Order: sequence, then structure tokens, then C-alpha cells
Amino acid sequence: MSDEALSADHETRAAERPEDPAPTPEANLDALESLRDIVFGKRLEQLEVLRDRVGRLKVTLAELHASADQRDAAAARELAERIAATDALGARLDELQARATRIESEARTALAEGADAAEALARRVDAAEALAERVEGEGGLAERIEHVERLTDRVDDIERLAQRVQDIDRLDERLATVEPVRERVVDEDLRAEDVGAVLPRAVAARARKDGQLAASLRPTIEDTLEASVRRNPQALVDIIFPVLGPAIRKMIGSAITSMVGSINRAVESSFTIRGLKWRMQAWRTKRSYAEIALMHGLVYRVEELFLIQRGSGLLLAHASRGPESEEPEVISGMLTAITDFVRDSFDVEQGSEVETFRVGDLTLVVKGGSKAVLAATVRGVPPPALHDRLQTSIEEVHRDYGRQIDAFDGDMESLAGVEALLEPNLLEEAKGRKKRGPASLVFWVLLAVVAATAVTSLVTNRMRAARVERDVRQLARTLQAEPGIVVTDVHEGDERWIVEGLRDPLAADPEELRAKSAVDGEDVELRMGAYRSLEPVFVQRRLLDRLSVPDTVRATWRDRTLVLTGPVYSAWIRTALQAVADVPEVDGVDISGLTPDPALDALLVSRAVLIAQRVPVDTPVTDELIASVREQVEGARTTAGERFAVELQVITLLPRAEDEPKARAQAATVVRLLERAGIQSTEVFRSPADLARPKPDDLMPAGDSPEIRFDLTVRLAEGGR
Amino acid sequence: MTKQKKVCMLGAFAVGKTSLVARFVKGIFDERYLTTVGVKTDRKDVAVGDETVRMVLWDIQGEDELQPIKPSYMTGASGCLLVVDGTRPETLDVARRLKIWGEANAGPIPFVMLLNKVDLTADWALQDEDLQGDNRPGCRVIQTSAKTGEGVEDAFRILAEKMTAGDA
Repeated sequence: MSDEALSADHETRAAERPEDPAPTPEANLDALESLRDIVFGKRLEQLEVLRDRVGRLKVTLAELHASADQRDAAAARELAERIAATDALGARLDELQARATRIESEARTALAEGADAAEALARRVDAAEALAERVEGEGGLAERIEHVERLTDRVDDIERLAQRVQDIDRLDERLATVEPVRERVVDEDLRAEDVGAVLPRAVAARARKDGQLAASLRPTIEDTLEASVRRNPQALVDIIFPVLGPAIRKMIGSAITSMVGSINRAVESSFTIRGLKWRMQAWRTKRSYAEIALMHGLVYRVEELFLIQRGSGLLLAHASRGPESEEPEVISGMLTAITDFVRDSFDVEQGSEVETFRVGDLTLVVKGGSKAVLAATVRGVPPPALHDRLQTSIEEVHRDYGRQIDAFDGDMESLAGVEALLEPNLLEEAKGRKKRGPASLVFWVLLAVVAATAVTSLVTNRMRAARVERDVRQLARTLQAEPGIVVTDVHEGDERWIVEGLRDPLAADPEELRAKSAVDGEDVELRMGAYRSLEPVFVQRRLLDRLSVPDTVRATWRDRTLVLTGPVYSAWIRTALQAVADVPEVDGVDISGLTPDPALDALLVSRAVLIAQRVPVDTPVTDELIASVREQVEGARTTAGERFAVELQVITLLPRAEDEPKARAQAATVVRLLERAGIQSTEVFRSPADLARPKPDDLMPAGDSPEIRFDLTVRLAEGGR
Repeated sequence: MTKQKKVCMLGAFAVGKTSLVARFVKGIFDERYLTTVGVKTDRKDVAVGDETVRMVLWDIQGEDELQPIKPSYMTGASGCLLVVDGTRPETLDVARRLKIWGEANAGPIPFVMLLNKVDLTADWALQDEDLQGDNRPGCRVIQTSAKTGEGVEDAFRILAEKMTAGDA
């Protein structure tokens, strides 16, 4: 409010009280002061009290600040540790956060209420101010206003104070929630429980991340193991014995294998007499050469096996080959006493064992396990493989009978069956025969090889020869059985077998029959002369070939009779009858089924018989004659063309019966020569009776002397009909 | 049924352990003295009821200051014979000490104390009162003579019975 305004206000108020006498300034001042005292006295007292409280609160606040800061810091530290320690606590802190937010909002509400109170106070101050202005003159007003302003500042301070108090309350609440967390952090049992709950997951998570965990744990684990082993080495021995034994054996085994391999390579190139002998043995026994070589140096026999309880020396089991010791328990005890004695008497490494005793050619091989010892008496030189075997055996005993051995009370029955594990170790490698002189050995071997080869060869040859003869004779029988083939002789030639005989050209090919048989082509020669077989099958085939049966006619056989059926031109019937009559092996021809077909006869109009030549039977068959006939046949064929067939008949005309042999021979020669010249012909004979009854075809009469006539018959070709 | 039992012979040197074993196992006695070095084992079957106890006897060398007995010899022993030379009272002390030593190495096993050389009556030096406290259920005391065989069978049989009773 400006001074003018205030002044104006004052005047107005003065004007509203006209009845008041005009006071003196002193009296006014006094009155004002007393009024001030009355009006503000109480207020000032209150403000004084407030000031004191503010002062005290300030101190408290500072202390609280310090302590809260301290506690905050501690709590924060603990919280940080806690958060790092567990995810669960982190969640709880979130919850705390939520609660804090809630409290804050509550505080804000409280503050709003405080503000309302302050506002009310301000209103009252305003009223007081108004009153003061009304009472007070212009001079003291500024001072009072200043005073009131100071008061207003104090009220602001109080407001801030209230806020701080709220803050403190909030901190207290937060501290209350932090307390259980602190407890969990401070209490070692609870902390251990919490850490235990997440430890496996934490370890796994860390191990996945990197190798830091393993690196950190390594020294501790190593120290622990070392301490444990130092304190009770037997426990570790018990644990690793079944594992370590096979592992070491495997390693040694592979080392030996590679050594055997190198020995093999080394000796493989050595060709001594002994080497050859061993090589043969290796070949015979299907073992490696090196193995055989080793075996010859290592002949031995395991005589007895003792399974002995470690420590007490009591006999757990006993196995032997042949006569056994009378008192194996005594040997078992003594053996234990001796090995104990040796071990106790000499400065040997912890866990070392006596492994071998040797007296003359007797060797005692001892293989120890954690609970029992296996001792074998061996006659001769035990091979390294035996050591491995015995070691495996004692490991098996531990594996299968470890508990029974621990509980052994002197009753061997309780370990029944353990002998079965031991007995396979009763091995024996017999010594070979007395060594022969190397030269003698080679001689015998060579002699045996030569003799065996000779005998084998002889026997093989003899067997083969016998087999060939058997096969050739079988082939001869097969050929003989074949129609149209006649075997006349089978004999052994200089280099091969020879089969001689005759063959009809229509018969099966003997070479093909040979190929189907077991006989090799080089082992046999087939010498076959030609002949005409009178077997019906061949006679019939030849007859039908010569008849050139028209395709309207069907020819079948009834025993030795030719049965012809079907339509035919009438002239062919005569041809057929003639042809059949010429073959003595055929009984006859049944032409009852043949029906002369006029249509077919009509076709024969075009048939013509040309007399190509006629010569006396006495006339020599010359090349000129054949060539002349051939020329005429070919000329006729050319003239006739494809539609006509030209057939040549060699007709022997026999006016006198006594001329027949000579005439027939002549005719056969002519036919053969014509055949050779590429002309097929058919032979026809005209007996004296035939000539007495001339046929329509006989265009020229027969003379008095026998003669051969060459008839060319031209008719429509079969395809042309 | 046959059960093996390991039995240790303990006592001072030259009290007659080997002779007792020879008498018990083979029924013989030899006047000559041969000191035992280390240990010598032997075997004898003793029938107890319907069982046979196969005693595997560990005749351990005599105890003296120069030759302490190896503890490993006691491992797995089921019984022990303490041998005292009745003509040498000091061997009783050795036997008592060995009993404690034996129990320490083999556990609570039955003991039988043999007062040997009882045939040497003229030189006998042990009085009954000397043995007070020795003859207890856990340790029978028996007078023996390896030379005449007196008490020998009994002593071994009693130990066999005690060992069998221990199993039951």
C-alpha cells in the first residue's frame, strides 16, 4: 500500500469518527503504544515462544540433519551392498521407494494444510495492520509494516521448518523400513541363508560370463585338495584306484603297441632263417610277426594264484594249475610279511609295492590294489602282457568284490566266485620243439614244397585228363542221340580227342552241341562226313522242300503217309503223287483231302513248258551243257518277270529198264552240277511204262535211247496268284 | 565251515614262541635255539564245535630293544598269544607291554598268556601273586611247555574258542 493511499485511508477513517475530540500527538502516541502493547503484547509473546521453538528446532534440525546424513550414508552403503548381494532386496528397495513417494504425497497434503494456516495468520496480520494503521499515524506505520514483514518472514521460516519436520518424519519412516534390511545384512546367519539361496545360480551365471570364478576358486580348491590328501591319502587312493589303474594301463598299452609296431617294422626287413620260420608261424597263426618274435623269447607258465587280503595277509582265494601248495594260507601270510618287511625296512616311496620276486626260474608277480593283493607264481619268464593281465584282474576283483573283501571274516565261502575271475590268468605258453639246424630245416621245407608241388601237379593233371575223357565220351553220346548224326569212332589223338562220324546237312550243328557241353573246343576235334539220313524227319523235310506245296494246301503226316488237304490246281496233284512215289521211305500219299480247283486250273493257262535241251544219257555232262541250261533258265526268268516262276525239271526218259542205273547217276550229276551253278532243279524219271502212256506235258515224244530232257516250266508265281 | 583267523605270537626273545608253534603244528620239539628274524607263518586247523578254525600263526620275532616289532604285523589279527618265560620274570613285563601294544594296533582282540617252560620246575620264578591282574576274561593265563607239550593244545584251543565266540 502506497503512502498516499494509506494517508487517504486514514483521512477517511478519521472522517468517520467526527464525535472524537481531537487528541494531542503525545496522548495519541501513548494511547497507540498502550494499544500496541495490548494488541501485540500477546502476539509478541507468542512470536517469542515461536522464535524460541524455531531456535530449538533449528538446532534439532541441524542435529537431525547430521545424524540423518550419517544414517543415510550408512544405510545407503548397506543398501548398496545389499543390492549388490541380492536381487530380492533390490525389489524391496523399489517397494520402499513406492512407500516414500506415498509419504511424500502425504507430506505435500500436510504442507497444503500448513499453507492454509499461514494464510489465516496472514489475514489476521492484515487485520492487525489495518488496526495499527487506523490507530497509528503515518510516522510509525512504516516501522510496523517492516515489523509485520519480519513477522511474515518468520512465518515463512516456520513453514519451512514444518516442511523440514515432515522431512524428518519421512526419514524416520524410511529408516524404519531400512531396519529389517539392515538386520538381514548384519545378522550373519540370515545373510548366509540369503547368499546360500542364490549362490548356485550366482556361480552358474558367473561361470557363463567368464573364467574369473574358476580362476578365483582354483587356489582354494587346490589348497583344500592338498590338505585333504595330506591328511588321509588312503581315501583318495580308494577313490582314484579303479579309475587310475585302467587309465595308466591304457597309456602303457598304447606305448607298448607303438613299440611293437616299431619292432615289427624293424624285423620285417630281416630275412634270417629264424625269421622265415617265425614268419611262417605268424602266417599260420594269423598273428603279427612281432608277436611271434616276442613269444619265442617268453615262454612261461602261471602255476598258482593267491588273492590276499591287504594288511592281514589272510588268503581270500587260491587258484592253481596242477599240484598246488599244501598250505596256501601260510604262503599268503609269509608273502605279506615279506612284502611288509621289505617296505618297512627300506626307504621306499609311500605306496610302493614289492612287485616281483625271483628264485631260479620261479618268479612271483605281485599286483596290489587298495584292499587285496594278487600274487602269481610263474615258472619261466613272465611276459609284460601278464603283468597287465594280472593288474586288470585285481582291478576287476576290487570292482566286483570290494565290499566282500572289506567284510571278510576268514570264511572263504563269502568270496565264492572270485576264483572265476582269477582262473583265466593261469596262462601257459609251451616251449616249442627242439630247434633244428637251420640248413636242415630249409632242406626239409624245400623238399616238402617240391614234393607237394609235384604231387599236386600230377594229381591235378590226372584228374583233369580223366575229366576231359569223361566229358568227350558224354559229348559223343549226345551227338549219337541227335537225329541225322552218326558217331563212328571216338579216340585220343596226339593233342586232343577226335570224334568221327557222319552228319545229314539238315541235322543240328555238332559244333553248337559241343559248345553246350562241358568239353573245351581245344580238347576235341569233330570230324563229320556228309550223308543223307533216312530218318523220317529228314525224309519228310526233304520231300516237302521238293514238292513246293502251294500255300492253299496243308501237308501233314500220318505215320509215313503224306496227307494233303485243301484246294489245288489239278496238275499239282500229279506232281505230288509222282514226287511221293519217288521216295521209297514214304509209304504213300493221301490226296483224298485235295480238291481240284478249276479256278486254280484256269490260272495254269499261262503255264508253258519249254524244252530247253535234250541230250542222250550217254552224252558227257560238260560245263558247256550246264552253262547252256543255266543261260536258258536265266533267260526265261528274265523274260517271265516277277509274276512268273520258272522251274527247271531234269527229266530222265528211260525207254529201257536196263538203262536206269546209268541214267539215274547221270541225272543226279546233272542236278548237282546245276545246283552248284546256282540253278535249282527237280529230277523226274520216266520209266518205260510211263513212256508207253504219254502225258499231256510230254511235248516231245521219247526216242528209243535213254535221254535227259531239260524242261523249263513257266507258270504264274505264287505271289502273283 | 572253515574260517581263517590270523593269530600273532608275541613275547620277549627266547621265551619259546617258535617252539610252541612247532609243538602245536608239527608235534615236535628241538632243543636248539634259533632266533626268529622278522616273522614266520604257519597253519593249524582247530575244531570248535562244528566249525573249523584255520589258525594262521604269525610267529613274530622276539621283542627286544634292538628289534622293535613292526606294527604292520598285527594288522588284521583276530587273536594273540602272549608268551612268557616262567624262568625269567622280566619277560612278564615285556608280555604285558606287548599286550597293550597289540591292542593298540589290532583293536580289542582276545589274548591268551602262556607261561612257558613249565617243565623247568627248578628254575621257575613266577609266583601266583605275580600274575594277579593278568588272568582276566579278556586274557587267560595258561602254563605250557613246548618241550613236553603240556598246556599247548589247550592254550591254542582256548584262543580259537575265544576268537569264534567273538564272531558269534
